[in-house]
Amino acid sequence: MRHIKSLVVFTFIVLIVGAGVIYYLCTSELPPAIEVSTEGQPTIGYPKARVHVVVFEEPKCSNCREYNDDVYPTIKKEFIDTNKITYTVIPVSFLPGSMPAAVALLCVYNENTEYPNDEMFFKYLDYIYDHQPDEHKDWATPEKLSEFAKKTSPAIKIENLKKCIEMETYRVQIEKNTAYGKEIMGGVISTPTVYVNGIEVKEITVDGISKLIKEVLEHEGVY
Amino acid sequence: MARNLELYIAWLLASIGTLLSLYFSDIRHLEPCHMCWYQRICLFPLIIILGVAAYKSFFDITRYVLPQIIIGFLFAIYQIAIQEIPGWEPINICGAGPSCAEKYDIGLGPITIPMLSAVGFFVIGFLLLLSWKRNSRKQMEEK
Repeated sequence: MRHIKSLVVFTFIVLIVGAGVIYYLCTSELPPAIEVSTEGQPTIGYPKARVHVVVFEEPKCSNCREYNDDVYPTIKKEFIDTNKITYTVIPVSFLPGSMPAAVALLCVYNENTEYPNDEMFFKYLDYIYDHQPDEHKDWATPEKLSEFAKKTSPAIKIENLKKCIEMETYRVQIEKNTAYGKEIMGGVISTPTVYVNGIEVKEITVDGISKLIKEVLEHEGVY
Repeated sequence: MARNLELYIAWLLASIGTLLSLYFSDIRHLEPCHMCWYQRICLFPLIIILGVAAYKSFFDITRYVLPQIIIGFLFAIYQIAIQEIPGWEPINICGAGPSCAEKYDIGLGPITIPMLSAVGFFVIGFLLLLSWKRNSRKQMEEK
């Protein structure tokens, strides 16, 4: 009976130490990444950066507003303005009545179809989130969106924009984006969803995103 | 000399199963679905309970842990069924969160996590029954 006691204690120590070593060896790797295609999507930051952050956003969702108000400014200051990352927003629409707002974003982006205006897209997106009415109100009308655009920048041609929203010029593109988001998120789309080089951020806070960006930068040998 | 090693091996298997389960969730980042959690609830306590029992050579432990092993085994069988029979899910235990019907690729071909779980519970239960049987027979002989 003495033998079995030593055996149990010995096994226990081996298991604990083994688990510790394996955990230590394996967690230095990054979580699994997926491929996120961003061709033709509004993008700012350094175009050739080694780290690419992609955010799926829905113009009516209130969590996206919170992300834009509380998290995005810090990410912009620390990583975009310092040219450490490329930053892309993929606009999607799945909330009732949000399609006009999503279309309007692409209307502003593609005002000159030959030279899509990334800066203007982000300015307009910011303005929408800063002044976003309640998620349950049907606020996204061509009039309201034009008013937002007028205040975003005098450079936006309001008549063209109104026409573009009313004709739902970019509806197909938004629907494609939404279907794409659904596909890569495994069937259920949620916003905001943030990917850092294809790794989904679990905790969408300044700390959560910054930590992952730093890890990926380090992994890419940038830091 | 201890001849009754079944209890010890059962404990070892439970420990390896627990570590494997934690490996899948915490290192491979496969998010456990509800079914997985129910099986874990049945499995994880065994490392403590069977560990103490193995140390004390307390073979009667089978009576205490066999119910939870059977429950864990049934959960595993049910999950294998909903994974292997497309569209068959009579009771939706999974609720929100990761789908239980989705098979995670663990690099073992057609072998899925619930299959490992079912085999694990079965072997642990079998070994415990064996050690219990043998021990009670020995006690009878001594009397």
